[in-house]
Amino acid sequence: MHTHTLAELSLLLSTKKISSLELTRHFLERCAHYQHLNAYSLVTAESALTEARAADEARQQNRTPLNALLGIPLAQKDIFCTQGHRTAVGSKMLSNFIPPYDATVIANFKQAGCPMLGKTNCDEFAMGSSNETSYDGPVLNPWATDCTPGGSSGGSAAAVAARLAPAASGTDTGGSIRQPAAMCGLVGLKPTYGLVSRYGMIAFASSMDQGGPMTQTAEDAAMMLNVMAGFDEKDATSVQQPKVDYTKTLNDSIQGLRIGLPKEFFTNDLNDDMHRALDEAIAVLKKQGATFHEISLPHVSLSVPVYYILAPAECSSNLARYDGIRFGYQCSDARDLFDLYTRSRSEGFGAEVKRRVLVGTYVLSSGFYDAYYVKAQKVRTLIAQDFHKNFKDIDMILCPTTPTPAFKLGAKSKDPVAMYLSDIYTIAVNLAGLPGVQVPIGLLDNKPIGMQLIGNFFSEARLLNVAHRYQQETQWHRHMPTNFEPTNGGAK
Amino acid sequence: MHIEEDYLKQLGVLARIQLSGSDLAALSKQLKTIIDLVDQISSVPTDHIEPMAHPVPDQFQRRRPDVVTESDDHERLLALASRHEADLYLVPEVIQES
Repeated sequence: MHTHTLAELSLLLSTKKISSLELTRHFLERCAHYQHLNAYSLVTAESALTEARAADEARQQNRTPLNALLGIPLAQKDIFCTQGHRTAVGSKMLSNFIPPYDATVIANFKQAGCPMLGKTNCDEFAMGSSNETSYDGPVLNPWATDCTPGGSSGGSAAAVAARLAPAASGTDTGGSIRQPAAMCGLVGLKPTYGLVSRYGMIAFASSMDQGGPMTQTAEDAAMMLNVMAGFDEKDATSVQQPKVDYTKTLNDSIQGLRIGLPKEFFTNDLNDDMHRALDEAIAVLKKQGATFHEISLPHVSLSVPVYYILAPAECSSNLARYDGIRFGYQCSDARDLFDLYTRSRSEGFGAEVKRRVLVGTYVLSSGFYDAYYVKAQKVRTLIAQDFHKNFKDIDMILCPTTPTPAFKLGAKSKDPVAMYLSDIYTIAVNLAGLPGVQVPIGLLDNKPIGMQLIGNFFSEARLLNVAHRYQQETQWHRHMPTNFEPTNGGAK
Repeated sequence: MHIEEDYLKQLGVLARIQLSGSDLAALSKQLKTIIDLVDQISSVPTDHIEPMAHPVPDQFQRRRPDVVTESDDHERLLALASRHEADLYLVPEVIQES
């Protein structure tokens, strides 16, 4: 049951070959059996079963309209507030936080009738590229358990890769959906900034944070996005766009599609095996009529420096709300108010979060603000302009998602800059607010690798169409890590 | 750029993060590598370039009419606090008798 895609499960449920309750029980068994992966910070078995019964009842009574995902249990990144269920976003600071409301993304999935299996582990406040900064402990990559699953949405990636959930939500500020999806062999979509509501999504860097799906296939990502995307008046940056059915155009022809290959990303620095896999993926798309053109993104190499000014600046501002008083962790026996603030934050935040708060405080401090923050926003404009100039002549961009497959646990945790560079191909997309989708294209040393397709604003339907057409001709998305089937409980 | 330990302590005060003596040397070194990385942008010509205000052109942060839309939730919100009494958050004494 767990090897099915969302599209297949939707058909099995609608033809009543399985029930939501059976399906949900099956995935909960798998969550329990493979808990050593640490993919979940919290499994919400009891409420999941209640929600599954409600979904079966809704289908039985044929309450319309029935969402295509009705009854399919999902995993939600522990960054989305869930009413009545702890939402800790990998931090000691929020380890006792039970939100009094649902994030819009969670409310949308509830409305669609998707039971929530649990909350997936992630880097603390989504700050990390390996899931090792989580207060809930590191997540193991199902493809190689001595490796990280990537991050920050590492728990979601590991859960879907090991089929502890058929799909999951993630969030992406600098690559946190696409990079772990690449390292775990999944499709991961970072939508256009403003397409998916940020209401109830714990803030890290608000000008870049964006929620999106992590799935086995492009078709599944389209089904998830249908539920996740939409205008929300509760998010001031939510964009009013006509509602799109992202599944409708999946099979459209890609004949004549113009795809750009940025010369800055296809240099000698790119691993030979990655280059070869990308060439093979390009050949598959060429065969279907796409044409490829070398392009230039002259400022893209500045993405990492720009990001590590802006993201810490926004993080230091956003995380100022954690004062130990209104919610979250409070230190004991505070001497005075300053001591209460300082010790609550020092004891409640982990090392990477503190590092970013300090860098953010530095670049925003008097005397440095213009040289760092304003300058970075200007270079960000240049980076975005490079994309927009190219989108006059091409329809989308193809490039690697990550420089390497999944790396070993602990390999980069002592060197923050080495860790930051693992997002070298994904960060520019967040700075420019564009959509990007990661698609699995091969295995290297038995670990997945992927390609990234980057489109213009609101081109998610076209990106998923190209990804889907690629998956019609290839089988990489069907590969599953070994040792995760069947469960001892006999669930198949 | 090197960040002196004294300056780092001052940043800690501004950010309300306590930095112990043993952390300072390691952190100072790490921040130096991060600041060296981000300093790459300093040589980029940006005259006449507008700093980005919103990633999606022609979009801006919407404002809503200044009217109450939420119901009174103060009890549920107060319940999240470590200490509260009589509908107020409790904090250590701020104003002390001289």
